[in-house]
Amino acid sequence: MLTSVGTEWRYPALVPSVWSTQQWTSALSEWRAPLFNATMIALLSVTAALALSLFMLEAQARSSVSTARIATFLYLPLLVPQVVFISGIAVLAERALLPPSLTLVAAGHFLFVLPYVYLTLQGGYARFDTRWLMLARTLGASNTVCFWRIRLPLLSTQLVTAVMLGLAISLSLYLPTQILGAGRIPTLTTEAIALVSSGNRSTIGTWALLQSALPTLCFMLALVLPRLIWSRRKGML
Amino acid sequence: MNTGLELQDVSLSVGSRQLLSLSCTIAPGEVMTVMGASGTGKSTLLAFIAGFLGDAFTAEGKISLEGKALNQVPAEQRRIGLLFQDALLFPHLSVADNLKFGLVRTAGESRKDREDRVEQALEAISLGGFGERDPASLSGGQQSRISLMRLLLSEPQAILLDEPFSNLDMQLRGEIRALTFDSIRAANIPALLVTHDLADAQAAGGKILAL
Repeated sequence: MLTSVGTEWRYPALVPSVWSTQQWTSALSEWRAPLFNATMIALLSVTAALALSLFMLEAQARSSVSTARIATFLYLPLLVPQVVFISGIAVLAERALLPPSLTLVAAGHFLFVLPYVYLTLQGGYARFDTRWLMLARTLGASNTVCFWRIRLPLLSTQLVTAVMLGLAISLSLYLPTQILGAGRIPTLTTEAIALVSSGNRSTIGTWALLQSALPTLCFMLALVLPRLIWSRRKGML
Repeated sequence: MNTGLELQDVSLSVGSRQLLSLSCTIAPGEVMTVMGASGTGKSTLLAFIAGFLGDAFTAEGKISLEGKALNQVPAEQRRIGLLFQDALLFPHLSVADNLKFGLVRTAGESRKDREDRVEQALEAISLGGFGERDPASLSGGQQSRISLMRLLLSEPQAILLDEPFSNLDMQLRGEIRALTFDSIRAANIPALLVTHDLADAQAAGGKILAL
């Protein structure tokens, strides 16, 4: 934080001797595209991961068909070393003649975000009291109505956690962004890491702060949002 | 015209172990009681009738309500209501929205008419003006009454009671029990009560079946 506004900061001094906001103004002019890319990639990958996780869990809950086996494949990206896994994906994408693009990066992020989103929601599904659904069904609600009007609202806290966790992870991913985007899709994280080698401490400070701000915001929202939404429904907290 | 709820040669089993087998007819307005220790398949029987039997169970026999076979009908179309041990008011909905959840729509009824009906229902259980309240802010007795009213507003043609009074203290228990049985008689629909409390069974006043 301090390094980002100090231009001269010699050893014994507790605070920088020369202050400047120049790093911030120059960073602000350069951060728009990385911020936009990072946000778009995070939103796309998390939306897809959320949809697939809910689909799998709902299918499993409604029938005896077990998707647990398929689910173990979801953890593959976490078990295999990232460099190897991502390079493999990049080679595949190239074979399929998919040029590096924001969508391709988002697809890569999706693979890494999915296990976390799935795990978070799986806990919620496992603890879900099925009497709520039985009750709703006997009150005349179909499975679909139950999903939208009972299941999702009652799982709202886990949904918010899953989304925020997913966004925070996507925003912090470096290798998938760099390799699948062929370095052409700058995000806050890739820029911050690229600048580490610049040796300019105040630049590094500025970008490190920018890079960590969004994930921090996500985690804060995960804590605060459910309380805001359900401030008038004590049974939900 | 209404022949009640009929169970013909119903037999439930887990794997090769048979849980229970029975045949019975519950007349409209009657509350029949099934008693038995836990593990005798009481709840499984209710799940079978309501349409929620798990894959672990095998069931034989025919369920019919007012002469119509129900076995192949999905749970939401059976018009069989459930009352559990807990009031289970949906915690994310207001009291009025809980009541509206199962409210049967009548043709040509406006939104205002529906709201009036909900308010009248609340007044009938002496909770007029409670519509906007958070269910979590209500006492256990109030929650039980709303739960029963929500069930009645869905106009079920039969009711299944799964130990609905066992979580209430003695004083409330008598009150809620009387209200429940009176409502069932007034609606003139068959009901099946599962309990391990003889006092509940006697208060129900119908046939008692011990498992």
